[in-house]
Amino acid sequence: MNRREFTQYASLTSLASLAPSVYANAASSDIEKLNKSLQRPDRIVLMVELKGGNDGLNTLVPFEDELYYKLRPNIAIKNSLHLEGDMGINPYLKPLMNLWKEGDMAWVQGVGYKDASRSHFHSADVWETGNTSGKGSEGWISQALKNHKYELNGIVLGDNNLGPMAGEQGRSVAMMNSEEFLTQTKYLNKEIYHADNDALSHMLGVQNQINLAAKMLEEKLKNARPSSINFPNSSFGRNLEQVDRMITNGVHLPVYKVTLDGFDTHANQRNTHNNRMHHLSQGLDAFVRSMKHHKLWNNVMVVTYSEFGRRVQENNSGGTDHGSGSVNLVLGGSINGGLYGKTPSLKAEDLVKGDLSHEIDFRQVYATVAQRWWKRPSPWGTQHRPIQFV
Amino acid sequence: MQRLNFSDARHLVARSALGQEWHLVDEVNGRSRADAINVLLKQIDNTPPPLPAMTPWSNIMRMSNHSNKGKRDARLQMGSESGLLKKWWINHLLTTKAPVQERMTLFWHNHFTSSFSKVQQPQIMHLQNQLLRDNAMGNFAVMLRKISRDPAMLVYLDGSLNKKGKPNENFARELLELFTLGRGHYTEKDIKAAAIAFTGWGADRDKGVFVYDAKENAGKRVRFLNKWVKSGDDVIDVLLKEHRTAEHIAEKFWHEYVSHNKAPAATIRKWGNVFRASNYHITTLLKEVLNSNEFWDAKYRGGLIKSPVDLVIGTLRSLPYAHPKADELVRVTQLLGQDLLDPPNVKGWPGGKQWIDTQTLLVRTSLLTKLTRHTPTSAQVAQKLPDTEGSKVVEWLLARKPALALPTTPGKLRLVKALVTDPAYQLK
Repeated sequence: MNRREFTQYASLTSLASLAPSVYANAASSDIEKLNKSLQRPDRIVLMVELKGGNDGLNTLVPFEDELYYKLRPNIAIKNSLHLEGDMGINPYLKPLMNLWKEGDMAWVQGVGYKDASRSHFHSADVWETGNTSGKGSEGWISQALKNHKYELNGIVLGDNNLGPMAGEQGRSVAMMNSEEFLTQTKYLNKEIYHADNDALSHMLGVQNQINLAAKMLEEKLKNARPSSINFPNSSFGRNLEQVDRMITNGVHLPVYKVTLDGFDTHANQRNTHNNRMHHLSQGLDAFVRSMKHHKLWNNVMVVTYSEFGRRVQENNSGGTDHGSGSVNLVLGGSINGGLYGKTPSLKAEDLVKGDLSHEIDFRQVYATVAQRWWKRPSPWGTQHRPIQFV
Repeated sequence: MQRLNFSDARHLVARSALGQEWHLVDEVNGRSRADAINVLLKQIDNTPPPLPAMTPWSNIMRMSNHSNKGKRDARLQMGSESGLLKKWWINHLLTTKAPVQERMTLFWHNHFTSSFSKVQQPQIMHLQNQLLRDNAMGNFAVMLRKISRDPAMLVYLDGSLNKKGKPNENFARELLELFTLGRGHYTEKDIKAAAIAFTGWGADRDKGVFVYDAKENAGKRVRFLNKWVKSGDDVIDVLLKEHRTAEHIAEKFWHEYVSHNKAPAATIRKWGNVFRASNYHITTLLKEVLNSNEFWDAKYRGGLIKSPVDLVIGTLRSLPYAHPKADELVRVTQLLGQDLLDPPNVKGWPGGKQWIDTQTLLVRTSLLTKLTRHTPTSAQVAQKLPDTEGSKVVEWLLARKPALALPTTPGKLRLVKALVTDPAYQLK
């Protein structure tokens, strides 16, 4: 680790190094800065990763298109809920329908990137780094929020994958839940050490982020009361409940992330995918009701993403293989609800290797979040134009 | 001839076995490199303990087809048996007399991955696990053919759904991307062709055997990597002739045994050539790696982050602390991000720096703190520690100098606790 890097790490932990415990009440410039940043008007994003490759066509359904039923004789959604024009949504998203009526739901369709990868890992890397080579190690959110004054960018709940918040400058922590996190933090070393190799400096950076986040959560959550809203008793529901608890107790970080897994529907897709939609809508509905109850709904934006969409044509196992081109769902009290982007054509001549073509680059969604929501410059300059959903 | 000093011996053992057991370090200390490696790689019986009883698949199917309750019961039954299987493997990792071979079994589990969560049948997951163990130090080409016929793999990557006129590309894609060539050395067309060649390969889940259904085979020649192929075996033949296959495995050995950073191209070329020239003899490749100057280079020492298995199993094998119960160890490895028999996806555990994040660092710390806590039996622990001076204990347990100050109060147990909870202990 060079001198400059070392100073950066050191500055992140000035308190941790002095205080015998993270809970000591010594003054800390870091925690003060962090607390100050938490008092400003909030612009919170909840990223929801739909892991495995969500089938966009059975999520946002072109229900008037004959080709849709022809290409998907066994798995087409026949009872979608009408939004506008020819588009409907999966019936298992019904709990969210009121948000559409209130103008708090936006769909961005035909989203993807050129020469899309069909590998789960490679394409997830692409979506998380915003780099189509998939080789960057810095997540797109880490890039968008660098050079700003937050001491902590965000928290990932229920998963250890920081994803879009990854990277040495990511300033984010991942945890199963806050209780476990705080208990375990007691044992963590608080001292700064001389980290003279790559692996050690990585560990020191992680240690410093944990100590800072722990001190802040401890303060904010010590008087937290249980939520009046019932969240679904699933891991997705419990993770959302954790996010809710943090936000409603004043932990107003720029970003939170949760994951709903199980979208890799190669076989017997119908039940599996409907079930995923059910979990998604039940969980988000509880979260949204709580945000509204706490008058925070105007400060929150929910954005879903998935590593890829699926083939237009169903396969012979009653499922769909890896494809490209999909949809992003955006929810929020301050957003401009509606459909964005052109509905991709299902005609054979318009498909790209059997996949939906894309009109909107996925980085336009990110640029929108960065510029129009966080008021930060887009990591890609003017290359990917923002969309008007907010 | 160059002889291993104590620190060299520790380095070799810590990276090739499971933890740095004192008797192994002692055994290779003072030998020449080649001799030390031969001693460590000596074939030792690696038979795992007897397997817990498993419900036959036909019974499970009968339960599932009976009613919704039956379906739920069947799922619970499979879940609890998978837990038994995980405990069984943890126990074997903890007790085997062949830690070098068992590390390789784990390495192949991370290469030819399958997960219980997709396969849903512990019985065939166990068959795959034993296949990997039987071939861990054997021949890669043989293992590749066997794994392509392995029932759990055929279920995991949907190979058993890959049929004439209705190809399922899942297995073909991962065979090329992860098992042999690596990304960037084939086209989407090659994947489609390989999928067609493998049509008709399936599994009998009840008997736990490979089944070939000629009726479901496409029965046509396809162009794969610029060659004509007709069967899955033809595809494997072509893949084994590609330089990239051996180099891809060499790269994985580099990351497993030498460094998380990218390997020099020349080294990979050399190791790949050695591997191919040996007809894919795994022990030959491993000896090449362990004998290489890169493996011994000071700049790479202490630079690998211990995997959860290294940390948990390695610590318990090397130090005389009381062993937590097997189910607790299963849970701990899960929390540390290495849920054996349930890797996160077909790419396996990414490892390296990704082992340590804001969640797992906390679990690592609390585990080691609890393990080394003072208890009424601590005196017995102290007695079982090797009879040697403090500076040697430091050298034995840490791959590099401690990051934090060591205790000034004397006491071997106190010293060991300080070393185990030092950040440098996370490295090997």
